[in-house]
Amino acid sequence: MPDKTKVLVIDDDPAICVSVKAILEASGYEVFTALSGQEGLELFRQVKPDLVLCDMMMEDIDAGAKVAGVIKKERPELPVFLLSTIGEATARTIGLDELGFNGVFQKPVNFDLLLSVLEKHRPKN
Amino acid sequence: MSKNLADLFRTAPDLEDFFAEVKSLGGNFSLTTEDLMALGQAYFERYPEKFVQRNLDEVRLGYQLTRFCLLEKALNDFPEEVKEFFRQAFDKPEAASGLLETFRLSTYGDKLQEYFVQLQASLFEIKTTVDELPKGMIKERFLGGLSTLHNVVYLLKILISRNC
Repeated sequence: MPDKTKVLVIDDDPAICVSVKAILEASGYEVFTALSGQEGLELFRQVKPDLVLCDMMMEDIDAGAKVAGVIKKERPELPVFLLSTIGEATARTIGLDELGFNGVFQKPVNFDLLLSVLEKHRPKN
Repeated sequence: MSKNLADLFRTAPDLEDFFAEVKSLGGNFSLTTEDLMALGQAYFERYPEKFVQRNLDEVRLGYQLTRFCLLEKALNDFPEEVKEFFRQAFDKPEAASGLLETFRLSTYGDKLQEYFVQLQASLFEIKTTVDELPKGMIKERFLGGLSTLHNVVYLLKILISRNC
């Protein structure tokens, strides 16, 4: 049986982490969660995820961008998506790709969309 | 009678007392955008926002606060046993599957789908109110709290459909 796709979820709200983990696990993913940017980077190096979902405002207002920047430096090919409440209009103006994000999911997250995007980013064996 | 959540928050010595007060209202409180703004202001008076080295415990209290109030409002019309099932499922999504099984065998188990649809409609209405808040940190906390509720609704939808 092939290994499950590993998703790393980084969000300062434990309730978000637990609920996203429950949904993704019910959909066949292996999920790791971190409650700060710093913890997220430690876990990123430890578990080598296939995809990262990351909040923006955590220990600092731009912690998510710092995380994405470090990840992209170490593994430029890894898809990193922002989970945020910033709104569609702001998302279009802040230059997400320059910050290291492949895209954004607005909270509350549309999981039909998120799961279809995850499916497209599943590593091909 | 309608109670003002902001006043309740200001007079409650801690969050647990506030939650007990809100729970005792059984969802009978006003939840307009003005009420959300007032509650958000009361929260930020007690826990002022910082933009570097934020106090994550206080930020999390904000999400917990908004989540609790929004859920209590959404459960407004449900029997107490049904409210308790949903409170537990939202509090421990990782245990939702087992909680659903237990609830199916309870007095209200055969009306699960009906209650679930009603809950989704209530949360949709509440989201409309949250969406009307002006951009800023108060809206951010309410969107954060609402997000978890939406996530758990999605999870329950998956679990319910698998057992139909």
